[in-house]
Amino acid sequence: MEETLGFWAFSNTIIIPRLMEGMWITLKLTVMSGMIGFILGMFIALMRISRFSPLRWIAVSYITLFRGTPLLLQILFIYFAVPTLVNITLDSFPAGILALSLNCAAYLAEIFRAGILSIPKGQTEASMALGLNYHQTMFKIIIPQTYRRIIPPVVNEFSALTKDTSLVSVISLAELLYVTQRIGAKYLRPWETYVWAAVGYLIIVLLLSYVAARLEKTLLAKGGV
Amino acid sequence: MKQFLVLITILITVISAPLSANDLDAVIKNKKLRVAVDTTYPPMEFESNDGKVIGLDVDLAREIAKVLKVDVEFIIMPWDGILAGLQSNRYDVIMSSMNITPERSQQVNFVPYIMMGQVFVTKKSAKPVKSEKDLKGLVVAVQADTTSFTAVEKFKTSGIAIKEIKAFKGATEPFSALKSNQAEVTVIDEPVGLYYAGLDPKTFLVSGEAMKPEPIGIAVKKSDTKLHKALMDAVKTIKDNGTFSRVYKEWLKVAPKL
Repeated sequence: MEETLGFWAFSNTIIIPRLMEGMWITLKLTVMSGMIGFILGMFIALMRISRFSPLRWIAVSYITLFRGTPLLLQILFIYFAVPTLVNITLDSFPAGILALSLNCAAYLAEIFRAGILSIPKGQTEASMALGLNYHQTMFKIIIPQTYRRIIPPVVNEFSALTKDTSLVSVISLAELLYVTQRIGAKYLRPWETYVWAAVGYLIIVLLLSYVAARLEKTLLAKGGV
Repeated sequence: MKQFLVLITILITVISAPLSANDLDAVIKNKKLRVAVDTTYPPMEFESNDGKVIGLDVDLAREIAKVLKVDVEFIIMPWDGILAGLQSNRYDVIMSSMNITPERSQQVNFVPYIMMGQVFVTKKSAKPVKSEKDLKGLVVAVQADTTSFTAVEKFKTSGIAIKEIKAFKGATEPFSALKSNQAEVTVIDEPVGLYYAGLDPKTFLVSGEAMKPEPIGIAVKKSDTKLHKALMDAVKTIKDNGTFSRVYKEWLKVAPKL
């Protein structure tokens, strides 16, 4: 039956409509975990450079744990192991979002920390000398200057995140790669299916890079450092 | 540019050529039958504590290879890629509890050798699922691209209000999903269901029959007609001389219905 369909007919009628559904889930996973991870990462970065040592200690342990274990393990743990330990059963989608956010927050925290440390110490001293307190110095002077510097590594992290979303297919979440494998196994036409999946991921990452490039330009026009 | 294209063409030909020659002659010549198994399926095919591939299918494959007077090599493949791997000639046959279905029969030839039914497995503490009607409102976990998966999808399209079907890659995940309350029931081949229920009788319960016994087959590429014929004969040989019944009883503790 389907074996007789040509490349375009097969792509248009079977692969693309199904892959679009998967791509939508992948996009939602990327954007949502990216945003949550961004905010969480910012907090962890601030904790990491805090003068209060318990906060520093928590941040270091967090980063060590999430950067030091495979994301796949974290996903499986949240989905399969957490419900047997405590009475919290997260469905595939929220479990996926949670694992991806927690993981990318660890990487983003280090990117933010690098950004903050790259601003010369003299600026903090000057700001303090002008009578600003620690929080004012951080949020009004130091952090705004890091925006443009951290865009390239952050985009890097988000592209990695886009591709990492494919790991949640192990908890039966129908994202792009999961759908691809289902179609591949059903129709036994691997190359067509995989090529279209590759196109799907490329579109998402290119979209991301485009947004980042625009943002960088805007910040430059505004006179960013 | 032209030279480049020629080079690419040559490369593609060279890379793909050695993969194509096969059939029975190749098996005899190499003195080796390459058998693909997905080892997440006890007691049919799984790994012993020291990592060896064992199980009913595994022992049967050894007996069949003995009849063909060749050695046997087991190749562990995840289920979702197992048919594609056969088409791309990574092994000669698949012997991994594969149900003979019309869809699969379009792609490969089968040598039937066993009959196997499907059962519902639930948590012991939950309401038992006796027939497909009891699936109403439940979350069902199954292994993707299996007969169980197709069966559950059919139940759903036939009007049973299944809450959700969760399809996992491995056969063991539906059991983990039951245990961690991610699903309430799974559908699986009877021996496998019995095996897990026996392994963890406090948690799991085989609660009812989901599908009448259907034939399981050794999958062979459509082009390997000679190998298909030889395997048909070999299966008949081990059934006639009693080897099949002996091995079957060793693993499943009951005599096969031939």
